[in-house]
Amino acid sequence: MTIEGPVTSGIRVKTDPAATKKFLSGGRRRFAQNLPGVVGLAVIVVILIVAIFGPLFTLDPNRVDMTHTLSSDGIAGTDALGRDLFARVVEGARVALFVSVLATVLGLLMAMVLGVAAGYFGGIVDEILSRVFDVILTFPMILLGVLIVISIGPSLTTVAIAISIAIMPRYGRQFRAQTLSCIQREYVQAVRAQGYSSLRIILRHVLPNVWLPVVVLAAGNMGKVAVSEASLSYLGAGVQAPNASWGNMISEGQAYLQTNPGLVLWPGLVLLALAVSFSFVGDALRDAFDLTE
Amino acid sequence: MTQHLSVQDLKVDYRVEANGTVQYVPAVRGVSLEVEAGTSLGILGETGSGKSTLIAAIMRLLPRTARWEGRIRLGDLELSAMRERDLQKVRGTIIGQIFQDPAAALNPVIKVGTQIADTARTHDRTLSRRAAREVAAQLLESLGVPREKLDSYPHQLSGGLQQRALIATVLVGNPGFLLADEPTAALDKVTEAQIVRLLRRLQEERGLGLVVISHDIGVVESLCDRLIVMYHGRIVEAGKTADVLEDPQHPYTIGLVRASRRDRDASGRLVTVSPTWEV
Amino acid sequence: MFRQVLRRLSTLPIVLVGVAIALFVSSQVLPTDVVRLIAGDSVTPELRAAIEARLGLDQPIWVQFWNYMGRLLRGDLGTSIRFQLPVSQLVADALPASLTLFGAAAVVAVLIAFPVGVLAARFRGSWFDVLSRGLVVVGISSPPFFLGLLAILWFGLYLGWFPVSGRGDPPDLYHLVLPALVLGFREAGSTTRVLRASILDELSSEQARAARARGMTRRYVLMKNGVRNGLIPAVTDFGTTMTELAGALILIEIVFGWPGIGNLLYIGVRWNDFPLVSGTVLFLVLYAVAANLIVDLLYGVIDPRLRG
Repeated sequence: MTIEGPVTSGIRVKTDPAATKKFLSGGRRRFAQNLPGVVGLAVIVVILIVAIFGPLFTLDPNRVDMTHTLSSDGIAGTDALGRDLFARVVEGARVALFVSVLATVLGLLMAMVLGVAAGYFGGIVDEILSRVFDVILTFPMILLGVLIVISIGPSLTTVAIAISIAIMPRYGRQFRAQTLSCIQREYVQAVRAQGYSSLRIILRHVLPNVWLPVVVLAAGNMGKVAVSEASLSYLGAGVQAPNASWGNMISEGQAYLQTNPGLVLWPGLVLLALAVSFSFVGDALRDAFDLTE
Repeated sequence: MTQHLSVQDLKVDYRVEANGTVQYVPAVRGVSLEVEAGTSLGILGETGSGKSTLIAAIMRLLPRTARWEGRIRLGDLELSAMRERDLQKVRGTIIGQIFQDPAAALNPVIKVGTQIADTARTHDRTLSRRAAREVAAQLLESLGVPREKLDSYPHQLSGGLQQRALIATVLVGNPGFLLADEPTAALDKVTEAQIVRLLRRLQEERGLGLVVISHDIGVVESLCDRLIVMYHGRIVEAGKTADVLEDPQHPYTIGLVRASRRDRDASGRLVTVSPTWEV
Repeated sequence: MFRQVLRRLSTLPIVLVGVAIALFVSSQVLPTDVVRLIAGDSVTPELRAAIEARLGLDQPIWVQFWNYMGRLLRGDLGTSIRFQLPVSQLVADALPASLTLFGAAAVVAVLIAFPVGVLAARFRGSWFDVLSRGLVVVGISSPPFFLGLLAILWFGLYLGWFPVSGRGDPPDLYHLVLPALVLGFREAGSTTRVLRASILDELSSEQARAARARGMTRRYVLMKNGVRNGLIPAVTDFGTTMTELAGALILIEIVFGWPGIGNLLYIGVRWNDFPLVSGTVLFLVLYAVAANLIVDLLYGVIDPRLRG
C-alpha cells in the first residue's frame, strides 16, 4: 500500500498493484502444477478453437436432407432429418460457450452490485439482499430456469438470463464476504474518515480488491452453466428446434438410441468432456488461489 | 511401574512445500536428555523452540511430514526402533501424554465417561462395559470430578473439569511416565493452581516420571526437580530447577527469568528476551 | 439453530407467494393463446367469448388475481389443458412415483457415499482413493440426462439387464434399479468428497492425536474420532444435496419415462400446457423450501454442541 501526497492535504491512498500481481503469478504457478487442471484447460481450449473456427470448415448444421437421414456420411453421420451431425455438434459448442460466458458475465455483474452493496452498507440493506440470495438459492437451478424461460419465452438469451439469475446468489455471497473483510482494512477506514462519497470508495478501493477471487471462482463454474443450458434445452425450455444445442440434439436423438447411438453420444460426450474439464480446472483454480466457497 | 527415559541426539525436520520447492525445516537439532524414574523434568521455551515436537517424537506421533533420527529409550523399551503395532500397546499403558487444550483434546461428540471407559477397555480387553464404567467413575472421583459428570459431553464441563477428565483418560491405563504439554496453558490462574497441585499429588502417589512443558516459569518451579531450557531446537541450559532459575548462565535463560519477574533495566524499561547471540 | 429455522420458516410463505405471483404475471404475458389451444384455429368470436367467460378471462386483472390466489389456497392448481383434468389430481397421481424414485436414489447415494468416503480416507493416496475421486468428479459435473442415457445404452440395451423405460405395470423393482442407480450415483459424489475430506481433517485434529497418544487402536480412532466427527459436515452436505436433487430428478424421470412429477412438468412444457407447468412448478417449489427446512433441523440433531 502506498500513501501519496503531502499529509497536510489528507491521505491519498492507492491500492497496491504489486500485491495483485503477486496473487496472480503465484496462483498461476500453482495452477500449472495441477495435472488434471492443466489437461482440463487444454481440452477446453481445443473445444473453444473448434467452436470458433469450426463453422468455416463444416457443412450447414441446419440443412435438411431427407434423402440421407441417419446415414454415416460426413465425419459423424447425419441425424433423422439428414443434417450433418458434426456440424451440429460444433454449433452446439458455440451455443454452449456463448450461453456460459453470457450467463456468467451477467451473473457476476448482478452479484457484484448486490453483493458489494450488501457488504458495504450492511444493516437493513444487507438483511434484505441476503434474504433475496437465500430465496433464489432455495430453487433448484432447473426449476428456476423453467420458471423464467416459461415466463419470457424460450430463446438463447432468455436461457442465459435465467441461468444468470440462478447462479447470481453464490457470487453475490462471495462479493459480500470479500467486501466485508475489505472494509475492515485500515486504508478503507482512513478513506471513509476523509469523507469521500460511498460510491467513490466502492469504485476505487473496494471493487479492485474484491473482484478477482470471485471471477476466478466463476470461471471454474462455467462448466455447470453449460450443463444447465443443455438440461434446459433437453427439457424443451431452452434453445428451440431447429437450432442446434447439445441438449435438444440429445433429446431428439433419444428415440434412435438403439439404432443410432451416435446421435446421442456425439453431443453428449463432448458436453461431458467440457463439463469434467471445467470441473478439474475449477478445482485447480480454487487450490491454486486458495479460495473457499 | 516407573521407568527411566533416555533421549539421545534427537533430530527432527519438517518437510515444507512453498512455492513449488521442498525444504526441510529443523525443529529439533540434536537434543539429549535423561529423566530418572520417579523424577520430574521441566522444559522451558517459547513457541517454536521445538519442545512440542520433542514430546511428539518421544510418543512416536510425529506427523507424516516429519523426518527424524536419534535414539529414544524408556526402561527396556527401545521406543525409537519399535513398530507402530507395538507402540500402540505402549502408549497409554507405559507412557502417556497430557495435552494443552482439553476442549480440543477430548472427542466432542462422545460422552466423557464413555471416552475414559473405552480407553480402559482398549487396554484391558477382558473388562466388561459396566466394569469399565465403574473404573471411569472412580478415577474421575479420585481426581475431584463428581461421578454424575460421566454422562456429560466435554463442552458441558468447565475448563478445570475438562482437564481432569483428560488426565483421567491418560491415567486409566496406569502409565509410569507422563509427558505434559502445557497442561495449564488454556486455564485461568486459579484452575491452573489446582491442576498443578493435582499433578504433583499424582506424581507423589504413583511415583510417576514426569516431563512438563511450559512457557510459565511458575508451573515448572512448582512441579519439576530439574529443568532444561530450549531455544531454537536446542537445549541451551540444564540443571536443577532452583539452580537454573536463581543463577541462570545462558543469556536467553537470563532474559526469560528476568522477564518473568518483570525486572526493569537501567533505563526503567521492562526486560524482554531478545535473540541477539549465537546459539 | 432456532434462529436459522425461524428464518427459513419465514422465507417459505414469501417464496410461495412470490412464485405464485410470478406465475400469474407470466400467464398474462404469455404469447400462447389459450382459447386457440382448446378450440382450435377456426374459432368464432361467439365461441371465444363463451370460452373466455367460462375460464374467467373476461374479468379485470385484479379479480382474476384474487380468484387465482383463492384457488391456490384451497389447493386448486387449475386444470390441465392437455389432460382436461385438475392439475392437483395429476400431481397427486404422479407423486408416489417421484417419491419412490427419490427415496431409492437417496438410499443408493448413502450406500455409495458412506463406504467410499470412509475407505478413501482410510486408504488415502491409494488407487482406490484416486479412482473414487475421479469418479466423483465425473458424477457431479456430468449432465444427469446424459448419464442416464449412457446407463440405458449399456445396462439396458447392450447388456439387456434392465428395462429402460417406465415404471412397470404394476410397478416393480426391476424398473426402479437403473434410474435410482444413476440418480444416486450422481448425488453421492459431493457427499463422498466432503466425508473423505472431513474425516481426514478430524484424523489430524488434536482430539485424534490425543486418542492415539493414549493407545487407542487405529480402527477406533478412525471410526470414533474420524468418522463420528467427520459425519457432521457430510450430513449437512447430504441434506443440501437432497434439496438440489429435485433438479436432477426431473431430468432422470424424463430420460427413463418415469411417470412422476418431473415427467408431468416435461409434458406441460412440450405441450405448452401452462396450468400444468405452473401447478407442478409451485409444487416443486414447496418441496424445495420444505427440504431446506428439514436440513436445518437435521443439523441440530446431529451435532450435540448445537443442542446446547
